[in-house]
Amino acid sequence: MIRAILIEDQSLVRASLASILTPLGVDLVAETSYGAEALDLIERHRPDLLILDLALPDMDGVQVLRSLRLQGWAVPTLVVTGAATAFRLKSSVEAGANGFLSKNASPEELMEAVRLVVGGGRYITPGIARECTGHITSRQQRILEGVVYGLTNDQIAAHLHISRGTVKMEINALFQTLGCADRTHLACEAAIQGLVTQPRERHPLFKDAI
Amino acid sequence: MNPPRCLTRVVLADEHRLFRAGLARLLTGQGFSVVAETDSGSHCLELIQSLQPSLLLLSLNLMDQSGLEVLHSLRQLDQQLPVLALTPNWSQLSYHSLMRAGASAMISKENDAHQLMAAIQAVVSQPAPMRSTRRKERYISLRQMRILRGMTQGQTNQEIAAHLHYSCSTIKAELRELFQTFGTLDRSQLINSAAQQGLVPIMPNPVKIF
Repeated sequence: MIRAILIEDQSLVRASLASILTPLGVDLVAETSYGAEALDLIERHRPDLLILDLALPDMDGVQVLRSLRLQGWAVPTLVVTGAATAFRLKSSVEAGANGFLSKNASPEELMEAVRLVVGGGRYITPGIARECTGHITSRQQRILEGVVYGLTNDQIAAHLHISRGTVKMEINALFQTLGCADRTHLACEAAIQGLVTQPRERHPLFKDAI
Repeated sequence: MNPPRCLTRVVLADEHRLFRAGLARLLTGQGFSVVAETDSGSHCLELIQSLQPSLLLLSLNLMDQSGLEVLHSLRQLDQQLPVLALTPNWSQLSYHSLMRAGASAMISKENDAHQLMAAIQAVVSQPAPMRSTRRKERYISLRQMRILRGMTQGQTNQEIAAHLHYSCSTIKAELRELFQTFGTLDRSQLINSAAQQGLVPIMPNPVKIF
């Protein structure tokens, strides 16, 4: 019996994953929608496996994983995501994921991934991208959030206490990394690919901007 | 009087294979008969023609088109088939758009399995509800949904116009209306807001980045 914790924001998706996993010997000892509850649940249940979605209402799954690893929790973790992009794969693996599975996988692939990850191995969903060269720094990340929320370069510069020239330079670098030709395209890519964590409410930093 | 569940023949349409597989197990476990599943809107319409199911469980986000588009096409052919629309989260805008397009009811993936079963039971055992004649609620039209999806693929107004056979001025007029509906000021905010409300998918598009 594998004891697992499931962190996924949508209740019906949790129920559907459970209906695949439970009959195959995975006991879901706890489940939640919220990344902030991860640490507490892991301390309490000491599971063999963490199954982690990336799009959570309170924080990004990659952040959850990063903070778990920083606090010394090595629990084998399988990321299961609807947005299985090369960028998400790279940031998940860098944050310490042992497996990365697309929600387009078959139930058999899910079980294979679970067994490999629990056994100390690695599983990466096939067919994502040949290589991931892109990297977004934390400063670029904050600038990207500004772009997605429709701020001007001047507004972003003022909020982040950096010069307008730096904002411009970083945005050009983001065009390169994400293969975008203009600002609108950049904002669309960021929103659609889930690169910017999308809190259900407007980002507090940018609340006064519009 | 409810029909026996085994006589409720269900077609499932959703973008994610793992979710469909799990949901099919859940429904089968509850005695329903899942006759087919698909991630494609056009395939879904073919399945309905050939299998004559008694219920369609239709997600808003599919691989090739929006559930809203599928619903519009379906209602041209079939007024009677009960359709339970499934959305990523609860949104008034999705609700009014889907109900107007002919959904029998809507449930969000944030609801649990019991609520899903109850919604299915209600939809298959009751005649189609009288559609509200009050048309004050904000909603997204079929044309607006097509434009939104074009925008998420990074298309310019000209490209969307050419692709959908609309004039550029039509696109502009529809965009103005979309800005009003979403209360946003520019394209990137519009996409972001539509993605947050689950109207367009937050999904990978790996070809474009690397």
